[in-house]
Amino acid sequence: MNRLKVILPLLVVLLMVGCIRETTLTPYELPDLVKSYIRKVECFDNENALLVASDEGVMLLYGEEQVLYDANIYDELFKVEWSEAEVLYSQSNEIFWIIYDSTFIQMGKNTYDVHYDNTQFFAATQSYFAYALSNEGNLMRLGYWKEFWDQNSGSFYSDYYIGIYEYLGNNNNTWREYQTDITVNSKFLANPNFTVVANGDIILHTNPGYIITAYDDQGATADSVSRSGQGFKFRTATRPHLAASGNLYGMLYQPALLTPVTSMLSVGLTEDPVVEHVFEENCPFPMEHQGAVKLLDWKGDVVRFYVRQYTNSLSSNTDVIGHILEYDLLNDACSITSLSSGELLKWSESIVDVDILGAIVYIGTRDGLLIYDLETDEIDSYLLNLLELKLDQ
Amino acid sequence: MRAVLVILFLLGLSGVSSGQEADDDPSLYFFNPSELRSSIRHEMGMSVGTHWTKSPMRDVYTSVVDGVAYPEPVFSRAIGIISATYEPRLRLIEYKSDASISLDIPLTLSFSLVDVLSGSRYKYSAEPLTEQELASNIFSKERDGIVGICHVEAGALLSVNLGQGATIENTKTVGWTLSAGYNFVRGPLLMNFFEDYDKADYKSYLGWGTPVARVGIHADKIVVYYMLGITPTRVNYQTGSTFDVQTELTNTYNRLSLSFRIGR
Repeated sequence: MNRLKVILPLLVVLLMVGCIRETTLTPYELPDLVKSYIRKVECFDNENALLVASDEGVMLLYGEEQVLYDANIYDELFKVEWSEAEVLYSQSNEIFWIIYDSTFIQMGKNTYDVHYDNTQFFAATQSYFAYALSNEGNLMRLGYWKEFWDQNSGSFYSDYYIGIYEYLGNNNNTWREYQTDITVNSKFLANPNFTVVANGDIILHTNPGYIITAYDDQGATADSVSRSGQGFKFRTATRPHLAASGNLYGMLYQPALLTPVTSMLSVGLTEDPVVEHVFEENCPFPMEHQGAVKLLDWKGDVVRFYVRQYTNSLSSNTDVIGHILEYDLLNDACSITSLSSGELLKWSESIVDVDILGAIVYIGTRDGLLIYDLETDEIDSYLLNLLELKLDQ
Repeated sequence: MRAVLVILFLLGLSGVSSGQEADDDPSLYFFNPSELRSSIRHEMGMSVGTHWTKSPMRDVYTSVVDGVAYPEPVFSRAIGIISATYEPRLRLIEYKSDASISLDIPLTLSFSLVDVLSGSRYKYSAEPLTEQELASNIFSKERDGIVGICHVEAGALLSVNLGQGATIENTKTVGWTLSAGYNFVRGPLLMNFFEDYDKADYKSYLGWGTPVARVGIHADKIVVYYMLGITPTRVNYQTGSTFDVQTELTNTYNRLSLSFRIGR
């Protein structure tokens, strides 16, 4: 009993003191720029990164870490025409690239750099460019550096020589040029769309296609792959994507509000012919839709698109504000998930841009950024949701 | 788990082996529903001004200064002015007449002030923010008065009892009780007593549970209990008004009470 008289209070004290947990609520910069007109939403699902551009600036998200750029301070952001800007992101250096006309903006956690490209390119092809990031996150550009017409060929067409350009971004020289003897015929002249794959090879989704395994000042080492069949009609495929299955995918053109895509192209990396997968043949499209207006992401051979819903407040069904089209290109299986309207968003008219990160659809509207949870089918204000999320810290 | 370890530890100290069979050792007696009267002890208790509890952090109150959001913890708090308890205590295992293990179920009704507060003691309003308020840079709302009055509690505690009160046969003057378990709080019972709040907004603030430990000292028919929350959370935060770093202890429970045995 005496032992207990000593041990009991001791045990109580130990229990009281030893069980205190600790948590910290950290002040954070409030991204109130997402309350204004949203101009662009770009999610990078595999990298868990997000860029949102509004009239007030740009918000970058790295997981839950946010970085804000106020356009009143970084005034070049006011000049970007976001509907025409291309956004690239590399996880290796956590830098976002915004490419608009001849303006290049690098944005990251501690990086903000603007460069205006004054380089004179070969005049006849100066608008035929394509951009992608290397595995190290450096910006690369493919274009044409020379046109050659062989007067003895009996052809009207020229050969255009592909140049590989690495971004330098200094005041004297924007690009380092690597001239190659890889050519496309002027009959197929188009943007030399390309992607850089994990082993560093550059895959050109042109006609013919090329797999560039090495390049230097002396030229490039590349394998040429002929492309024919249905895909022979195209001169290049935009947004090329090489899946682990070995299939190379792309689109006939970049989808947009007034020019939705209706199909995807697929071909084995070193095979022929190109196959066209027409959405209408496999997808249960709803009645009032405007087509697939944005490619959202890739998961292997499965691609997701945002399908815009045609609605207006006077005559249309107001239960749906849009759709997510999911197409398995290996099996030609397609499904469409409709996004339900809510108090915060009743019609699709005010939607400016949409992208998806995991199960969350980020919806940029004229009135601010909304989030749509695909698991609960609920729409919430991004800012309100953020204020609630802080509880979980 | 922690409670079980404590019980086993104390069993070891008092020389009772949990593996013993009642048939092998007549000094061990297990709870038998047919002999309920001798296996239950009833107590009535009360406390005046020595009873208060805070819920775990339920939300954040956000003040925004120069574009920076300063979140503070939001929690429910009940201050018991007068609290009354009825507590049946079921002796599950008795060891001779000296010691027992019991399941105690304290049921409390308290005349109390129940409120939902932030760390800086803002009266947090759970009314949802609207887009319009957000557009006007309103990120948290405040109330004018307290949320309501009166609350109830129900606990389930596993106790080790020694000496007085341990068994019905024990005649010692002094005894000890050490308990561990879980205590549920529900309140306020009268919500719109002062202001007209929408009860649905406060749904997630009206009830919570917390692990507790209790020490009791028995002197004849009287027991003095002190019950304490054993998993408090210290929340560090910075206020938007003074920018000072503050600390708030949430998920707490404190009660000093006096109980009387009813019957034997």
